[in-house]
This record gives sequence, structure tokens and C-alpha cells, in this order.
Amino acid sequence: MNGFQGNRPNYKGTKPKGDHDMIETNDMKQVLHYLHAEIVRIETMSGTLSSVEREHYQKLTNFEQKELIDIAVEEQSAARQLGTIKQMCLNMSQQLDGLIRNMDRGADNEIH
Amino acid sequence: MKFIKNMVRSVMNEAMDEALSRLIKDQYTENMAAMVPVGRKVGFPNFMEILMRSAQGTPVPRPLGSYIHFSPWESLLFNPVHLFRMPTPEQLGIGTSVTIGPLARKPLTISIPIMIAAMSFGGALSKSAKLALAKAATAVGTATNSGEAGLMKEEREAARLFIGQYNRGGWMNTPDKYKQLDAIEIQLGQGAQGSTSQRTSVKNIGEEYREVFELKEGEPAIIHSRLPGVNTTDDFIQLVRRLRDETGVPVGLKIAATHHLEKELEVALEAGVDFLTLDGAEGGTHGGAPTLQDDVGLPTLFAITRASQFLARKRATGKVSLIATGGLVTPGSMLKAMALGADAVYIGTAAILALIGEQVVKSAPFEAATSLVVYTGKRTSELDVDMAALSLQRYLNASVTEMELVAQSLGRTSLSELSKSDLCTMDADIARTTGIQWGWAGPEERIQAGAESALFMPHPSQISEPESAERYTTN
Repeated sequence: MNGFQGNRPNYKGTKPKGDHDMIETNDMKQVLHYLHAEIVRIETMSGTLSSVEREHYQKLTNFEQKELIDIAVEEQSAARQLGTIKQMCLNMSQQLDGLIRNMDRGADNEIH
Repeated sequence: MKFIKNMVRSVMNEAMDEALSRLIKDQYTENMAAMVPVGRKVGFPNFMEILMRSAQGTPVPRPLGSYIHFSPWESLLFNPVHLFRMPTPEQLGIGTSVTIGPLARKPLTISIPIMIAAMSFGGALSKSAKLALAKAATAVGTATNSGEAGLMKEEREAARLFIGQYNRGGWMNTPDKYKQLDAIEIQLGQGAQGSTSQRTSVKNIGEEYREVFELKEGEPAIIHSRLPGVNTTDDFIQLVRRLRDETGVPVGLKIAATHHLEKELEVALEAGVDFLTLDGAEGGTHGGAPTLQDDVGLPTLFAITRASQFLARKRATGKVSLIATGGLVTPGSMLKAMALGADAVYIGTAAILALIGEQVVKSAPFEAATSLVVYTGKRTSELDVDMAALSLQRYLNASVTEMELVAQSLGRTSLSELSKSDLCTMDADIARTTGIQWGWAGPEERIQAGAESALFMPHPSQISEPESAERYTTN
């Protein structure tokens, strides 16, 4: 287990009861924040890698060698698939963002 | 050697002279030259099919669909931009991914908007061809489709994204099979066959075919005209809801595009489908009756336009994915289908030709290229699966890259952004019926030209109204 996992709350999905409700909600919020932050990082990484792969495609297609062009085609496919991962991460982070905001709103309603 | 050459030349000269003399002098009714006007009158494919029908006495199974170009894709052109909107900088990657069934619990996201169409193992293709399709699809991050077949274990393993057809033969319709799929396409028809029944005779069913389809020895494979268990609209609605609940993957409907399109889609939306696959009249098949291919259905271009407008009216755009298929053989026509409202496309014929690629030399000149890939082909064992997969991967990459180049010139950053506003048409009727701008005149002149036009294309709903109908009375 790495350091970060050790520090984050271990949400086991147990049914909250009484005073535990708030603790469990806070734990879940923290997990969602953690997931959100990591997904945004994956999104950035995949976007960067996609650009790198696209550059490789451009460079490799400068050569007339068939083997290199086949590798270039694979790089281009990799670039698109990394672009897809970036898009999926963006969608997921938006969903998580919505969940977090809903939880915040729920907490506010309880206070008022 | 020179002597032999001169001999051959002399013999050929004599023969040609004799033949030409006969063509000129013989009575026209008895003349071979009569075949020229007859051929032009009947058309070469029809001519051959007349002879085949007369020899066989049964419908002739024409491969790969109709040769008639029903959809006038060439009358549509994209509109590049230069100043009022800037082209996309070349450093910026064009987005190519698409999510099929965004409202499903487990949507299907593909990296390019081109998927491999439904072509079944056994009923259409050999096992090696199916595996090559699956490998190529996986390499480029797209999905392949089972076609109307059972679940072939090796194909499922080779395909990272696998769409299976809940089919009229019933071969994929049990939970142990459809729960292994990434999306379920309920197959009620196809462009090249309508909703007719089909039958694969026992002589064309091998041991592996029997295994995948779970057929008994001596039992033919029958695709019924109706889906087993679906005899009413309500049965279909219940089926869609059950499959969505049970699996969570996108559940869609595939039909042959027809003029009853909107009525069919109404039912599909009521059922809550995640995607719609419309197979235009140009749709291919491994082998189907020419009459079903040439004289049945609605062309892809009009089917997609109408379906897209219908989804917009029902506020289902972006919620229910629209997949176009049938006769899409160039990247340009695929992209035009997307600009008209399709989220993604399926390709069949083009994928098969690309798959054969350089291996075409193995069958030429004495066998058709398809003999390398169809289940009953004479040369299926000669297909190199990895080489075939690579050929298709190259083709898909080239096609999507061409689509990206167009998007760049249109100032778009993703292929999904394209819309009708990126198109113009040279055909006034298409302009009037689809809402695509007419290229013969600028937007302001177009209004005037439209007002002066004698031809008015009615919407079907206008025809049913007595007042509107009177306008078309010709006396």
C-alpha cells in the first residue's frame, strides 16, 4: 500500500447509523474528492501522451519505410485511444463534481 | 521466336477480320452485336442474374448488396472556412471518440466513429475473417459486431469492444451469452434483406458453425421474419427494458430503413433504447435476393436525415445514439452521415475489401476476392489473419485521418461537432427536404430562389391534411 492510500479514508460502504452518519458522509466526500483529483490527473496525463503519440506519427511518416509507417499508424491509433481516455476522464470528473456538489448542498440543507 | 509471333499475329488478324465482317454483314437479329444494345437495355448485372435465375430456379444470392447508388452523397459538399471562422490549428488533435448509449449504466465509448458492421460467422464470414475484423477493431479502439450468430468464444476474446446481435435466429438470446457483450443490438431487419426470413441449408453448415449456433446435426440455421417471443409492440418494449435492467450495457435496435421510419422509431423510443442502427437500402449482405437489395427500403442519406430530425423533435438528440450504415464506402460519405446527425457509422463492404487488401493476389485472377473471407469460400484457409487485421487497421487509420483533415478545414475540433451547417448541396430537392443549404445561391438569394421555385416538396403530414392535399391535385 502506498503512502497516499494509507492516508485516505477507507470507505467500506457500511450502513451509516446515528452519529456515524456525518462521519460516513465526510468519509465518502473525501473519497469522491480523491477520485476526482486523480481522474483529473489521468485526464491531463492522457492528453499529454496523446499529443506525444501524435507527434511520433508525424515524425515517423517523414520516412518512406513501410515498417516505420506501420508503427506510425499504431502511434496514431494510440493517440486517438488516449484522447478517448481523456474524454472519458472528463465525463467522469464532471459526474463526480456533480455528486460532490449535491452532497455539499445536502449538508447545507441539514444545517439550515 | 519472331516467326511464332508473326504466326500468332497473322492468325489473330484473320480471325478479327472474319469476326468484324460477320458483325457488319450478319442480320442484326442474328448478330452478336445485338448483345450490345440488349446489354445496355438490361444492364450487365441484371443480364447475368437473368441467366443465373434461369439456370438455378431459386433466388440468386448476390453478395455485398445492391450496386445502385441510392443515396446521392456526391451532391453534398463540405464548407471549408478561412476568415469568419478560422480553420483548426494543425497542432490541435481532432477529437474522434464517441459514446454510444450515454444514458446506459455502462455506456460504450469508442475511439473512432467507424465500427465494424454486423457480419456473422458462418452465415456470412469465415472464422479467420471474423478474428481479423475483431483484432483490427481492437487495435484502433473501436467495436466489432457479431452479426446474427451465436457467441464465438475466440471472437469475444479478440474484440475488446464487442456488440452482439440479439437475433431472429435466437442464437445470442440467452443470458449466458448476452451478458458477455459490451452492447446489445436487437436485430429486426437489415438494409439488404428487409425483415424477411433467411435460411442456411445444412450443406453449408460445418461442425464449428453447428457448435457456435448450437444446432443439431442436420438442422438448418433459420432466421425468422420475427424475433422469437416478440409478436407485439409491447413484447418489444418489455424486451428492451428487461435487457437494459439485466445487463446495464447499451441496448439498441437495428432495422432496415423504411418510409415507416418515424412510426418504428416512436416505438423504439417508448421502449427506451440507447441507440438506433439504421441500415439503408444500400446495405450489404453475404448473399441476398437481388430484388430485396434493389427494390426494398429507404436510402441511408434520407433515413439518417429523417431519424435525426425525429430525435430532435422528441428531444432525444444526445440521449439516444444514432448509427448509420449501408453503402458507406468512402470516408467522405461516412463523415457526411455524421454531419447529418449520425453519431457513428458501421462499415461492412469497405471493411471486407480493406481486410483482404494485398492478399487479393491469392485469389486473383481465377477466384473472386471474397473467396478468401466468406464462410463457404474456396480459399478461406489462405487468409493470413494478422496481415488482414493490419490491412484493415491501416485502412481505418487512413479513413479517420482524412475525416480529421476535413474537420480541420471546417474549423471543428471534433468529428462529433459536424452538423448540417458544415454542408451545402447542389441538389435543390435535397436542400428543400433536408434543411441543408443550397449551394447554387447565397443564403439571401436562396430565399428568393426558393420562393420562385415551382416545385414544393410536401411533408408527409401535410399530404394527409385535405387542404394541403388539394394543392397537389393535377387538373
